[in-house]
Amino acid sequence: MNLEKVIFGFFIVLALTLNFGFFLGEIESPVHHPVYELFVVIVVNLIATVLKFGDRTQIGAVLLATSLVADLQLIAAAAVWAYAVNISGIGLTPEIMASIVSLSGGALLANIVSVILLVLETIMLLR
Amino acid sequence: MNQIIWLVLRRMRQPLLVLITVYSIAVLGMVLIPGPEHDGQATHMNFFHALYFISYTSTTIGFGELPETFSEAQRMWAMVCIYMSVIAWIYSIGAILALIQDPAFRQALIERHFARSVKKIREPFYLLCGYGEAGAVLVEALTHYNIRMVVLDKDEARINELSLQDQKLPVYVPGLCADAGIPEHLLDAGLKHPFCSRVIALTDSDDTNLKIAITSKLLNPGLEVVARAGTRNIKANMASFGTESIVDAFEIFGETIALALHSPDQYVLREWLSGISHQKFDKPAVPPRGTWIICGYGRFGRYLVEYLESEGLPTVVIESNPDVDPPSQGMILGAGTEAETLLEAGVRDAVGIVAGTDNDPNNLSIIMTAKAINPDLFIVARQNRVANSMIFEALDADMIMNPGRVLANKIRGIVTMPRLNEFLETVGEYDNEWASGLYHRLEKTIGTDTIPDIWVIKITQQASPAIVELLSKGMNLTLAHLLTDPYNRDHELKAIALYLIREKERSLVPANSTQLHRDDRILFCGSAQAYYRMRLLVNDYYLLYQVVTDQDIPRSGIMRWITRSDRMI
Repeated sequence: MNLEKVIFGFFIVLALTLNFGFFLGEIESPVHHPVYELFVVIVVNLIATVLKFGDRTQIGAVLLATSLVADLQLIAAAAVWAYAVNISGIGLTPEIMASIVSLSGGALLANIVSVILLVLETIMLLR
Repeated sequence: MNQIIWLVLRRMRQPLLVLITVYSIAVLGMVLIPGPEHDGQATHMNFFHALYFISYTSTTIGFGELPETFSEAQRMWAMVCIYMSVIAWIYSIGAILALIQDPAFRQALIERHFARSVKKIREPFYLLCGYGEAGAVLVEALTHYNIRMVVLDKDEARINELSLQDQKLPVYVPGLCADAGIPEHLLDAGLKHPFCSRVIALTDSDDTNLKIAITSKLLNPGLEVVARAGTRNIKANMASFGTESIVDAFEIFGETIALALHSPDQYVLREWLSGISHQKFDKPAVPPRGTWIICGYGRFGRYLVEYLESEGLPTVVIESNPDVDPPSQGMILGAGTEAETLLEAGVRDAVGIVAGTDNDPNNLSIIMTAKAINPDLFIVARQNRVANSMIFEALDADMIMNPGRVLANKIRGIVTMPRLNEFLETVGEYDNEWASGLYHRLEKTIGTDTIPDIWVIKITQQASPAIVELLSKGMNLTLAHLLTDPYNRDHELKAIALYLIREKERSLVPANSTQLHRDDRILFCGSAQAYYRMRLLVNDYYLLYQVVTDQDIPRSGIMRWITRSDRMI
């Protein structure tokens, strides 16, 4: 067993599960999508991204790309949130909430791809 | 390029992870810890404000307590944040600085810079492996012909020397410290570059030179390879796979001495033609026939003994190492630096002495001692290091053999004047009388005080349009026309045609009445003025027409119409 592999897999899967947790719920309701959850998702995603740095294989490059996509989507979601609450003062209207959650939904897809790739790589190692 | 990004990413993984962790803890704490109370209710900072606060605090900018004055609990956490995040930043910046100073990273940067500057070259260039004595002289000589070069050398000190030299060279010469014996480095240096036209292997090791030659021949068969070889075995090996030119300083010098002995005029002619244009030419001393003393029986000594004996001259060998294979006539043990050994070798009756050890001070000492005993000796000094030129010049030797210069000169000849080289090789088949006749003729027409210009006139549309146009009009053109001074048609240019190449045919010193044909190539030597005027002549239709018909023709169409001379053109 390789501790590095454990940490690597842990963060990638955690990024997906947390992302899914945030995404789950009625799309327009702020009650179903707590801000803390979004915060943790972003942090875990960033850590997962950095862990993928420096892998020069083809699969490593694609993994890094999916992570970057997820980061981009999540940071965009956070930016929308900050804009709505702090800058424009519109507050978390259903439209704003829907756009935040759908952005995180995009990130969820990227994270799914990431996990699929991870699984594929593991299977390839087994063969 | 890729390699560097990956290197940075891999090295920055740890610091980035630390930063992300510290930031998230700090932000989360800031959000969770209750702020000042409003109407009896504790307020909380939101994530946006918390990130804002941490951003300016951790980078030590410190705007203060924003957006509201903090509660005591928040202040306490802010303190924790400050120490935590500032340390994280210091660590990250330290990691970046360490990376920049890392030798492996710097080497990667240097290699990338080198590979890029090679890739950017858009004109023919030579790849030189080995920037030693010969390499340095060669780079200086070839860059003067505006030939681009790329240099590889294993020794970092030499590459540093090159970059110091760089300001003095007329063109930029990229150099990389790398083992040229490794194909990857050769590729980086442009072995497969479409503009790479020649590989010159001049490293100190025969093995490496062999490797370079064979790698070049395999990876880029169209390349011309010039390689240095120290022994006959290596030479034969290199020749077996088609290395174009194989050079060995000692052999070249041995041949030169042999040539000087059996046909002195040919030797003088060769020296005069193959020098550096416009430099002063002192007629070299011709070695006398008689007994020669050779000090040092290494590779150089062996070649000399061989060549001198092939000329029928007796030799006496002095060698300090008792373990070397002695020559057939035996050898005298000793350094040759003391009078005793030299007297034993018969220095009083000898006509010449060769100080040919691989140690410069010893060579100098040998010559000083020998001269004191017999001032009439013909002196050949081997100068191992270019840096010692000054003392060797002061020695007033008759011939100085510096391996670096000998190699560089030879390669310069091969590379910049292949036709002259061909000519000189052909001349070698003729006897001394012939060379003597040619030399006197050259002396009379051009003057042999300075080294002449050497040039080739190609009769092609591109190189000499005027000749081609006149020929296509059915006019008869001879060498004499080319050798006429276009500004003073009664005079001849100070030049002589040395060699005419017409398809498979080769003629030495063609007569002035020789007819010119399309696609001829003619090698000339002459004064700088002659070179300049002949170049004008072959490019200027009117000028050449006037020379051929010996008539003045107006350049303006109207004037030609008025003078009725247009029918002739």
